[in-house]
Amino acid sequence: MEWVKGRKLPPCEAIQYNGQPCHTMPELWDALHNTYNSAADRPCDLSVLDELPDLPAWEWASFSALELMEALAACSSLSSPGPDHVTWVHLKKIVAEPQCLNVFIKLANACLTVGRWPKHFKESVSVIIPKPGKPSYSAPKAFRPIALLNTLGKLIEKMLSNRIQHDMIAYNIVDPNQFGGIRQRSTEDAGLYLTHLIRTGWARGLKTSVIAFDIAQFFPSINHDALMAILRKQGFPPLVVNFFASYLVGRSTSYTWNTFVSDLRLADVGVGKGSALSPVLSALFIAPIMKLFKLRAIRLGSTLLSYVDDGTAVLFAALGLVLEHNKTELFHFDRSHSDHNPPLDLGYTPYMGNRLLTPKTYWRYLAFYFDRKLLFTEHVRYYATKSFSTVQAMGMLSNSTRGLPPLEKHLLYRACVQVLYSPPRLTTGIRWIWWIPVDFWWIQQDYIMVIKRLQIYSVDSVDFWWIVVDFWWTSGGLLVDMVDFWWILNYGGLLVDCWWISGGSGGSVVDSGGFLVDSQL
Amino acid sequence: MEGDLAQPNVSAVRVFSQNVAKNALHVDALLSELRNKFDVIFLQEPPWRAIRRVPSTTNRQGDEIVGAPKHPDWLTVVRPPTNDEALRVLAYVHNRLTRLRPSLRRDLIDHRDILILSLFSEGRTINIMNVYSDDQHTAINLLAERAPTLPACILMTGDFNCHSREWDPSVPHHRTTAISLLDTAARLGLELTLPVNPGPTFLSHNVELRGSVIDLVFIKASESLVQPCRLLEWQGPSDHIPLASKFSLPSELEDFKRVSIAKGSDVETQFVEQLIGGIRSIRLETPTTIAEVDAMAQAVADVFSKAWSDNATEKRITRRSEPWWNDTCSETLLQYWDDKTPENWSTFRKATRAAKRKFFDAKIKEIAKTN
Repeated sequence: MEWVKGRKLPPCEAIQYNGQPCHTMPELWDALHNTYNSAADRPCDLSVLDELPDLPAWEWASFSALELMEALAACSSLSSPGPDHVTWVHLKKIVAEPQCLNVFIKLANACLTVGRWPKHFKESVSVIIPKPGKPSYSAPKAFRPIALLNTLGKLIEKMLSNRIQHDMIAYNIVDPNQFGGIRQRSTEDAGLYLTHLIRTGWARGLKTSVIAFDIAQFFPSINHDALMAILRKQGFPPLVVNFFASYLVGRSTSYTWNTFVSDLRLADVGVGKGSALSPVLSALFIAPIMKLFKLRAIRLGSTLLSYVDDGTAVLFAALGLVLEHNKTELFHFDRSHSDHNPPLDLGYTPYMGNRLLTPKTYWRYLAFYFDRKLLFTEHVRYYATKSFSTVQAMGMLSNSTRGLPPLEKHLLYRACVQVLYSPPRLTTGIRWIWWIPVDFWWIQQDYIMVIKRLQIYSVDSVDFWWIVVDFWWTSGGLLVDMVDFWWILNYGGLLVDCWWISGGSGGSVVDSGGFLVDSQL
Repeated sequence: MEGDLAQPNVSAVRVFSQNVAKNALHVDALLSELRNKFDVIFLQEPPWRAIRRVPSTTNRQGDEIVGAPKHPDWLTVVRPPTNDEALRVLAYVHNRLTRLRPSLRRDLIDHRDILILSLFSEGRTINIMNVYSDDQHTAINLLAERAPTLPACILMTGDFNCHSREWDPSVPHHRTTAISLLDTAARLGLELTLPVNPGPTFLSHNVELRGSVIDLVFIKASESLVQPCRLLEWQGPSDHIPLASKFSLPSELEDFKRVSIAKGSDVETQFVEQLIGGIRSIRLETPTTIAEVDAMAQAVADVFSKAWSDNATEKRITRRSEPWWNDTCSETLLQYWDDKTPENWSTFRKATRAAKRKFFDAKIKEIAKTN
């Protein structure tokens, strides 16, 4: 809940770029434009791709009306329109007319068969917004652009993206270790896979270390020639490759900052921001790196795991990508009792000689907090405190006599707290404890204690009382409210006992609570 | 000088300056009372304190929120203090000056006693300065040192804590600090301008002590519109009397307008109908060449842009616009303005309540559905 957080000062400093203040609007637009498109024209060496085999090209079928309707149905009616002001809501009303739908399908298919992406679909508005929590707003890097494209173009992109998503898996283009930008692979999978790797290592008596890289400005630094070469290599039909040749060039955007609007500027770098195809294209771009790494690293015994851009330096450089070295992280997974946590010499600047890369005590990766022994105490503690503080803040909104009615409290709770600690955040931790082998039952016990203490006593008891306080004597209404707490019960008998105690001091609460427990188990 | 109503177009900037002696309540009062009377408020010794605790992910007791009073109409321009030192200068800029991009110039001087604010108008930069000089004359000495590197200013005002017979007839001397201050001002292209109603600006809470003049206004002679004046009625609980000054802008500021189509309005229905009609009329042939694809996309784009320009209306957006306000509210309000009967007032109230209920019910439903 945004309103309980500390207040942010509005950005009030003069913007400087390369040490020069930007006083006039054109200077300011130049500064912003150059910052967001800084990755242009990096050299790249495509010979690295020769090691990979060429995949055979497959067939391409034209788009159907159903595909368009499905892609459109998934669009939020709340998102802002592009420069033509036509929102998804308007578009949904237009395609309800079969004749209009026909026009759009014909246009979408023609774009691909002819290999042309019309100018109208390449125009966008980039709204500049400040990134939250920066100490100073005097550099353009403290702001981020949100690109708004024309919705009709975006719809066709989405249809194409859905197709590629399917083909990527069907024709085995992406590596199973790649998680970003691919449907049905989430951060949770990446986390689980990593835990699996570590545990198999431990079972063989090995220790696992992780080096995490960050690629600077990933989307804008995707090289067009390299991308085209990769697409051809991956067996995309020539028609799709032709389409991308037209799709990637000639994009233009106008910037909007406060109430100021800039002229149209050419933004041809990388893949377009805000486009539905960008995640897919980036996934396709990373895929050969993963495959090459696999080929070269078989004898090294290491694995490369990637989630969009958190993913070996030589390969990246060959394709024109630059690693942001100050974000490189090292972490050792070790379940022995020793405190041995050695730093590492990576063999290239800035981590060479006497400046070594030092490992961390906790490692934050994709919103999980990993600790060295994979106990996830830090993870649970973080998210439990977060949801606890949210619940505490909700207490300001009402008490037993005035303020929000229980129904609305319930809604608010579902909207703000459950997303924090229900799947996949806190429960990810819970699910992972079942990875702990039965031989180590005491660890399991410990872990359950942690969850009990944090989750039941802090979050749910507070929250539970807060919501049901008005229904104190009415067991019928209470049931409706408590349906939401059922998932706690699903996590084993131990937790249910605990929950009984927390809900057991009020007369009717026990009855209905008991009933609920029976019905759930 | 003051009391004029909110002007639709701004052609001059009115500046209010006072040492508020860290009184938060007084600042709150100033912010709401001076909304329509001033465009820039310069404060010396402003309050900067813990406001409340907020739930945190690291601390059970909650994190403290520290800051100065805020007001939706004013942009707070501040260099956040570091290492627990007190904040000395603060500025509020009214939202009607947003088009001038008010910016804090930490690249010129990054010091807790001096705040340089730049306004950008038609390629010209207007620099105004808020100064608090302590009893060690830190700010005056720093300004004297930095003056050669600073750009020309239009206004410099604040609490200088410096006595001289030049501005206070009851003081017999004119010492080095005062000479240095006048010298610096001259380098920046500014002139000392005494208020229209001269008198002490600092009245100690100890009534036995004599008042003195230590708050000064330096202004560029060619830009000054009215002589500064002391505003005795706005003194509040502070021991300093506020000063008001005014300078002109190179060009008039126009109000910001945006063209839009209201969600769920009749105009929107009309807009969608026009879109459907337009797209239906596009000739349905499968394009086979690049030119044909371009032509078809252009035809669609033309339908979109024509429907937009035919239906969109200009709308002034203010900070006080309510998201739930609808046409019924406007109609009933106009009716009430016509005859001012209590019956019409109650219909207006009913209309606003119904509008609010409808708006928030929809919002709640939307949140419930999407989560």
